[in-house]
Amino acid sequence: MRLFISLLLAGHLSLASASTPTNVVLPPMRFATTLKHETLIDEIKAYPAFANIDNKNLGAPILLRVTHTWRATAGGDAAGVASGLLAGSSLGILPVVTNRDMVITYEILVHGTQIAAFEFVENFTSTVSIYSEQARTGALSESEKAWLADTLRQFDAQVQHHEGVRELLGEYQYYFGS
Amino acid sequence: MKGLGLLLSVLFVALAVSGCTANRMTTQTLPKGVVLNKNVKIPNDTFIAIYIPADISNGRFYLEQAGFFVEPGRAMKDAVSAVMKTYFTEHAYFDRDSEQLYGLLLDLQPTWSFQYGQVEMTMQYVVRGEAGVELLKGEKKFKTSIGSLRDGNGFYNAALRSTQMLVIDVLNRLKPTSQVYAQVLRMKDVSPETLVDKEKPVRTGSAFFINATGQMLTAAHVLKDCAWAEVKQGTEQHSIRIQASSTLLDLTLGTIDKPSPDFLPLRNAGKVELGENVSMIGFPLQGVLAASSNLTRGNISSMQGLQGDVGTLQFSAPIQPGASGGPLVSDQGELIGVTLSSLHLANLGEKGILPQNVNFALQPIYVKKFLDKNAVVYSEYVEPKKGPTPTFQNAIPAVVQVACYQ
Repeated sequence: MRLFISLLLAGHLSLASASTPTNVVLPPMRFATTLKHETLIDEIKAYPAFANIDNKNLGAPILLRVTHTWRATAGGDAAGVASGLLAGSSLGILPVVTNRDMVITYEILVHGTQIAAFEFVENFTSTVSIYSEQARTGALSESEKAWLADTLRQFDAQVQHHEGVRELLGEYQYYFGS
Repeated sequence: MKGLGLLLSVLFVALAVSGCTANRMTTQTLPKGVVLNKNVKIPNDTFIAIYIPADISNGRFYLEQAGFFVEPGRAMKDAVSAVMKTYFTEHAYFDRDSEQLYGLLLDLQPTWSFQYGQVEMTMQYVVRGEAGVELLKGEKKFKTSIGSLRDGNGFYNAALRSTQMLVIDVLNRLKPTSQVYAQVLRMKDVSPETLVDKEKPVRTGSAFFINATGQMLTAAHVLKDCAWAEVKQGTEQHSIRIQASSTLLDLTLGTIDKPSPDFLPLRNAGKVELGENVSMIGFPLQGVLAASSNLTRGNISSMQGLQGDVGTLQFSAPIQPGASGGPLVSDQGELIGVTLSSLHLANLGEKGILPQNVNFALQPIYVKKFLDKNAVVYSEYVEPKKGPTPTFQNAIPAVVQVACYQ
């Protein structure tokens, strides 16, 4: 025990993990998304790992792509159609009620080849008037936006430890420097 | 009346949407006229290995107007798996590097066709046994409503039924058992050349030799996901063994394991001059243009590619599909770039811009770094002290056509 403490004090040992990785910062890259969420790119750029994203980087070999899709749930589709018919027959007085899973996928691609992908799924029940801005434009609801922000936080955390991303950074450093 | 019109519109949309959806079929029923022989027991205990071309199983595209991905590849793979689970106790997808043992190999070559809201899957198949011997072959088709593109059920159903039909054919005609087709064949021992469609390469491009041992460079996207790749040199064909690849540079090193007397030297010190004359040598538009090499002339237009690009230069020598991976050479025949791509015109055309001859090549300093990283022997150009100076035409014999098969 005394030897352990001596070595620790002498700086020959560290309590921190010997393999703690340095923070990942991705090089300049393009960005594409299927989401109708105007501030998404700014929210992503707020994370240091993605600070180099720029929609003007048309020639960048690396692309961050954020896509979304909706998956039907058991009974959700039938209920949604019935709700849609009721909304129509009430001339829009009754809202459309849907229950479905939202799937957000964050992909990092290099020249079209996927290096890393992270998928997040959450169930949402929404009540929307057919005349609303949301119904018309497909914009996210407040609860969907809040969940999206949480997935972004998780994506950033997972990217830090992804082996493929670290290999990409190592290769980028070799060819193009810091 | 206005309210009635709105009501009818909403009802029409709801009915149209519900009518357009197609539910997923199951293996509980068979297509009309398809019968499994009474003496065939399922699930069958033969271990089945399944090969599907990568471009088909990974098939996926983004529908911008609708805002979602259409994934026929995933739908097809789900369908094939569902059928295999019903009719066989065990199965696995082919992996050329795997030690997995199997009894029978099912080599599938699926194709999609579309007509009037319907999708048809044509499933060509070959069943192979020991040493790749062909035991059975055939083709099954199934057409169904495409339904909603979002859920992909149309693709799933067409693939499910066509796979069901071919599996029933295999079970009825071969009557396989784990005793007759024991699980002793190894995936790693299968020559991918026997699995691919050699009549139709999925991709062709250009490549060039970098030294006398037969090592060659090409664009990585030309040889991506190839189960089998070949070089065409005159009337001869040689298989390519991939040795190293960089997705970041879009560059691949391969070898034909045969000496090549003609190869390209790199430019000494790697520096390229703006405005310098260049020749692009390659094999573009195979099947349209002549099968011999094609040479176009131009100059270095810019020492950089598009904004955000790293490692490329811009040149003006015209290129067409199939030229990717070909060399850019100087007037002395030195390698000064590897042809990678051309500016995508569609988006710019919408803005009223029609750029011409805006093409990109990997700069020679990064080619050098790649070769050094992979310990590849190469030469650098030295002006001869005696005799004639080489010209760009001296580079032509070092350039070959490559073909990718799946």
